[in-house]
Amino acid sequence: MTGPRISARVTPETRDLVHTAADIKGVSVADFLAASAIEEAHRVIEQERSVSVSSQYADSFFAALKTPPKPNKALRKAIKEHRSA
Amino acid sequence: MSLVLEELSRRHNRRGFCCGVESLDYFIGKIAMQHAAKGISRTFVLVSKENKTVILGYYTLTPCQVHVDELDEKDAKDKPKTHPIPAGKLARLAVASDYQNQGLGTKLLVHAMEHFLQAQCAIGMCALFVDAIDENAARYYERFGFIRCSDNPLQLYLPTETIRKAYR
Repeated sequence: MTGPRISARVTPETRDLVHTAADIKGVSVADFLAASAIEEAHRVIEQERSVSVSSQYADSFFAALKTPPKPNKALRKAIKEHRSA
Repeated sequence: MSLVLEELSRRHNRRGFCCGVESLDYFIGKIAMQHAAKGISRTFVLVSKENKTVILGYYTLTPCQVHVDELDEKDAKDKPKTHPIPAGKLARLAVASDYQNQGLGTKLLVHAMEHFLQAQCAIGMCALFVDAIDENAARYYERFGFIRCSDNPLQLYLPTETIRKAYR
């Protein structure tokens, strides 16, 4: 494949580790690195842009949206002290 | 010391920021400006009026989607499938090491919530989520009423309406 190149310096141990893994998968080291990096990049971006509510919290989450708790004292005090306008 | 909140720009000494957490220093040092340029996230910094280049603290707000896990297959059949819900996320909040424990974090949080409410008025978001950096930070957010909602104990939220009421 042609395209821009990304390179990184690693320790000899890391190089051996990557070679072994690429051999197991039966792909070239370059393909292995690219595929792994793309996968990890998608994971990181997904994590930045999404949050999850676990199933055991689902009911309490929807209840809190429907009937929002009143702001507590600490929050009111913080806003009174720090708000810009 | 008189403090001002500004949008991050090239005037600010981004590489000089040090808060004790490597990932937060790295983000402001190398990533935040790029993200702002690409519209991925926006970062606001706290500076003093006397020296506006030194970053005392910062926060980053991003839009995000809430995925609610279904209880189990049987339950899920009876209920309408929930689509991802739009929300805001305080992805990062940091105070420089020399200025910690002086209320600057709270000042940043209050500003972040104001910005969140402004954005919420225009596009609608159900809650403000935070990614706490550690358990101490999570407890800090809990003091202001933030609620845990995930197997990830460092993720908390506060409903939009609760924040709106607090500003009334």
